[in-house]
Amino acid sequence: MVFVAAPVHAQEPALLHAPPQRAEVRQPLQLDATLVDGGKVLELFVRYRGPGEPYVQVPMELQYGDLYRAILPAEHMVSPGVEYFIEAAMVDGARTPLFMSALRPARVMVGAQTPVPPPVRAPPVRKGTREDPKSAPDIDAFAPPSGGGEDDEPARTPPPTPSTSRPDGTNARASTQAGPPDSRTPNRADSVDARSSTRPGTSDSRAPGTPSGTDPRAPSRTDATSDPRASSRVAGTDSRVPSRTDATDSSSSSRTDASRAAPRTDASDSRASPRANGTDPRTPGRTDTGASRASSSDDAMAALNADVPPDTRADSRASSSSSRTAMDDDLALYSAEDVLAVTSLQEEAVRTVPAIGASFNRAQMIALGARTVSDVLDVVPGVSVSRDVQGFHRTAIRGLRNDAEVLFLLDGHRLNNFFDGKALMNLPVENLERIEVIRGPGSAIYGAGAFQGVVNLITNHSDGVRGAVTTGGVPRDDGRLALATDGHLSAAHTTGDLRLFADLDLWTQEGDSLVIDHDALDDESVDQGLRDVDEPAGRTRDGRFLVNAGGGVSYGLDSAGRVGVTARYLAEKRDALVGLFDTVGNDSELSWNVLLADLTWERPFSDGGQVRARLGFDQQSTDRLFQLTPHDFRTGDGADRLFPDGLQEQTQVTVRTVTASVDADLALAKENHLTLGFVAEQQSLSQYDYTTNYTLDGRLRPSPAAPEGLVDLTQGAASSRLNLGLSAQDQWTVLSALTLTFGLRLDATQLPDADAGTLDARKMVVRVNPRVGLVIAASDALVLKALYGRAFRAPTPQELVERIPDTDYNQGRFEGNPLLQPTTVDTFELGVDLVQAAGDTRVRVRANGFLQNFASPITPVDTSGNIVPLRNRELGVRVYGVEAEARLEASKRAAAWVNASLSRAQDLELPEQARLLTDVPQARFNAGVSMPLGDWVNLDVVVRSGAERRNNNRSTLELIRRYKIPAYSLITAQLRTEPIWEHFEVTLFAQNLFDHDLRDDVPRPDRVTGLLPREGVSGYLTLRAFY
Amino acid sequence: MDRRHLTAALAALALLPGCLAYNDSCTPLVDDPDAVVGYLGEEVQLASAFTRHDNNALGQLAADAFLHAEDGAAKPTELGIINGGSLRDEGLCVTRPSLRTGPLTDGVLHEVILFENLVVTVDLTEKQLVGLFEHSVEALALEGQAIVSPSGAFLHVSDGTTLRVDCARAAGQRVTELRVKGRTVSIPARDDASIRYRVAMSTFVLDGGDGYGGILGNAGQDPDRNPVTARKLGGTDANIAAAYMKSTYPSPVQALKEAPRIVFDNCARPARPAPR
Repeated sequence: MVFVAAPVHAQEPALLHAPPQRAEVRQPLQLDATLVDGGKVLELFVRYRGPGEPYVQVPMELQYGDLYRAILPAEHMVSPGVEYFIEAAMVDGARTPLFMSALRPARVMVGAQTPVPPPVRAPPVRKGTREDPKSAPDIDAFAPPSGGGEDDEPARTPPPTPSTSRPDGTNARASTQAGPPDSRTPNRADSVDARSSTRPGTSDSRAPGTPSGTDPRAPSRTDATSDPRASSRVAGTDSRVPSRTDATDSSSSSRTDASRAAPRTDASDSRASPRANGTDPRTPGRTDTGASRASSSDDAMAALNADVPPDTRADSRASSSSSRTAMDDDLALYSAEDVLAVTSLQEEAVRTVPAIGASFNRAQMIALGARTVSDVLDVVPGVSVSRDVQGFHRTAIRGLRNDAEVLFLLDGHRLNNFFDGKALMNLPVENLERIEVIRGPGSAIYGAGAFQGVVNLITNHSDGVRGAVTTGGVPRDDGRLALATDGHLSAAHTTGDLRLFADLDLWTQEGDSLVIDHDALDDESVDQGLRDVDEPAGRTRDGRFLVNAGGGVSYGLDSAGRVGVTARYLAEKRDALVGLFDTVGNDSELSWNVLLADLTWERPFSDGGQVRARLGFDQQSTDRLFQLTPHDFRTGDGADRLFPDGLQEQTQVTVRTVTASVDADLALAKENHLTLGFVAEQQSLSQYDYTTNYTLDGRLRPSPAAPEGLVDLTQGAASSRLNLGLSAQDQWTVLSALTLTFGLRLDATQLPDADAGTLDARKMVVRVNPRVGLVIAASDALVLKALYGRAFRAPTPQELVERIPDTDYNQGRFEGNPLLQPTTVDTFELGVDLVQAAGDTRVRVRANGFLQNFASPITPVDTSGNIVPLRNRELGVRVYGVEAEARLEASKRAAAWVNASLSRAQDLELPEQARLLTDVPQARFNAGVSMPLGDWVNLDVVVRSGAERRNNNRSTLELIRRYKIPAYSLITAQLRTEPIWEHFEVTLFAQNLFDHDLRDDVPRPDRVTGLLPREGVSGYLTLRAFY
Repeated sequence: MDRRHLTAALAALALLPGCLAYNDSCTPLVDDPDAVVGYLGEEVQLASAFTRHDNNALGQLAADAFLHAEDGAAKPTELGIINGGSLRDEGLCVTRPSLRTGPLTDGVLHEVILFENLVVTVDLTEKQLVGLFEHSVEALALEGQAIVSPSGAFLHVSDGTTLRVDCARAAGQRVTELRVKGRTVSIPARDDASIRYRVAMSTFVLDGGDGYGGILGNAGQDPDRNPVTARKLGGTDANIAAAYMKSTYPSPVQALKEAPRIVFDNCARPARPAPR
């Protein structure tokens, strides 16, 4: 794995490119590279050769921005492999190798190959390269061709370019494309491989010292030529070993590295010298100015070329210092297009998929002090996470909050519940490789549900064993510590074509307990003598137990592609934070079980495209028991009006989904890629039970039963739904700096036919969702985007048909409306992305503005003071705003970032003075700083703040129930070690260290007068181990 | 560190002046909020115990206004009703526990009767009529008990109608006497669908709000019940009440006062504040 980079300040052209580790026989190989400071570069060429062949040249085409791509034709892809290097034709007519050289080409193994054992670097050095049996045959096959003129190469090589060979992480894209490429699919061997291999590679990369400015490997190479056999072996280890490294994470890489240092020196390997000089940034001598400068300039490159897929770069960095430096964050923040590679179905169209997005890799999540997904989401610009009285985390995007309108995916599998649209998304982050967020609609790629945004959670399947334990808790106001502990264990292994993974998360917390002074039954409780007038109504409860277990296996069938099976089980049991609505119900118990299973198959085409198929199944069972009143509550006189356990209701819902999808990626021409997809999905509500322990007139039932008049939701048209989706997306690079994307998605959704007169009549409602994207790379540093997209979502069965008979104690619920129509949103976005570097300091700024028009949004607006049916708001809702983020990096471990978002949502059905919707803060501001404290400890501080909120004025009731939710700010701070003994990492962190006025809204702020208190300061200690 | 300052500083960073906007919840609901629509002859209490557990002058005003909403129609209206939950004390900007004696402005009246429901006049059977009032009073507190969260379903009645309630009796049998426009209504109600009473009420009640759905059924859509939606003044309850106030209580001399139309036996009564 080689990563070539030049110091930024040199202003010399440089190339960021990670060679694929391996390629398929007779499959074209795609090579991607990112050109930096390419002002003097006219053209880029890949020169490659098969075994025993002379070099052949193919041009690299500019794809978008600074990304270049070349395809090595299938006929040259024969075993054992190909060698190549990349050359630039300069304005002055000179040819300069930018990545490797004719003498030292990169090598890609072709065809099936026994995987090299994980500790990459160890074998070559310790055992001696010559003893590596696997590399020998490949190498021998490369008899040096008539290498006329190639000897000159090293001499001409300018120091800044190939000299800084960074055996860096595999370019995820390259690796992905080289192998069957779905990084989203858990079973994908290659993508995972790429990721894992990256880490060791990177650590290596910093070692062969940039500072010296000379190519450390050149001598060995020279030797090699004199001794063909030896040379070939050395070469083999160079290119191949890192690439095959399956070492899963930084720990192993750094360990092997350290252990290598001495033997290497003894062996008088040429590479030993730069390391021995203490330039290895990972050694304690890292503080050496030369070294730190070197590493930071590497990172400068990385930052500037953040278009390299996030996982790769993140991992690479992580390995190098083991510290997930905050630098990693920007990958995510700054490589949204790449991120979309994973979020979108079309890997080939990644760069130009029209979307505004962000992604957070592991390193970033750790630097944020995040424990759960919602901790991470809350710092994404334009995204706010709040909690409701029932304890659900609710994700709002761009000022609007609706559970069914944010699509949550776990490894590409939808998490949103068919019945109510909620998703069991607040998973621990330890098991996640990455979290990706697209703001705005994603419907050209996904169907209904990807409406306000898409959040994709990607689990970590890289080879190795990982474990983590976090323990800590919340100091309660009674002086006790409410314990919270979570543990994570995961392992993945690849053997030949077989790849296995398994993971387990366990989470348990007692949760904070905060005083609620008043609730809706204040007067009754006091009147009935259940509590004194000066006693508070109760306390919040936030206990939670969660299991997240997953596993999978995939198998490569050579030319027939790769098949995989994955399964995951999520189970959550928790308290309601307050209760159903605005009454404290501490006996409430909510459980949620989710089973996800997928069978996948994928196969690359010979022309660079691929086809994939997926058969998915999921089942979600929710069981929500709410206590509606205090114990011993009376609804009147008489024995049957006394409720020893309080009034209770229980809702049990089970839904199932079966999905079949096929998508194909076709390369119509070099500059034109077409993606076609088809998905069929059958969703059904198989169980719906609503029971109460009280009758409608408030009498105790002997045993819980359904109230009179309850509609059986498992019957009728809304209880099941067939969704068919057909999508096409074409990415066309018109000019080198201009890429157009056209997408069209046709969705047919089965909805109740209210006109038919019968309850179970259905009709297919067809929606067409177009999407257009225009991406202009104005210069190397500046990229402009103009995007338009339309998305839709169909009403949930809950919105269509759930009708719970109204009583005084469960009031406030809205009534389903079978006449509801899907709602659509048209989104216009303009984005700009700018990178600037000066010396070692780099700044990246990204900003976008958006306008979203929601037609016939489904909104429960209670205008009458009583339960009213949901309806489509005829005049729609309009949201506009801006989001901006900036990141400044001073060195590898020191960085600062800030993002801010401002949105304004208006319900157009209302008079001018009452239009604004402020479900969530209109303005959000987040910032973070990461800095080293000595060699071993890093300090991270993250600030989140939100503006004041006020009640909406959509209805008379909202008008008179006036409330303000004050502006808030939260500070999370943590101390994080660098890896200890190469296998461990310790983090000590405090969440909400300074918590000011964090409150959430409740349905009736006039009743719960202090609003809903949110969790206060909490402290944790995390120990991570990786092997 | 003063966290409030920190918050302010952070907020100032993120929130450029003028970027945030909020609804103006104090915007009056009518064009001329200060126009006097009539005079109150006594202080009117607006707390829920007074609007939902006792006679109330403004409730009676609205019921009277509903009664006269279809004046001139072939079949005269006999009864107007309004549910106590339609009378609010919260207001747009400030909560008003009571309205002082003297002039009442259009703005305030619209804040008290602020749901803007339409008024519909419809024929009801005797069974429905009695059912309405039984539901209206079933949640009233017994004498000696505290009035806790009184139900908004409690109905105020128009002039000419008297109702006697005995809270000591079981729910469903609490109405002991009912006279509508001079007609004595049989208690219990006769099961004769041909006996009709023409009643004006808000669409909220007619559509089943506050638990009246089971009693009224689809009376609002049944042509046999001859439902007529008020047209004058936009047909809303507040506008109709304001117009009626203007014509009936135009001066301090002819001012609105509460009448003892509902007689409470053995019921808890809200404690009136001492007269000022």
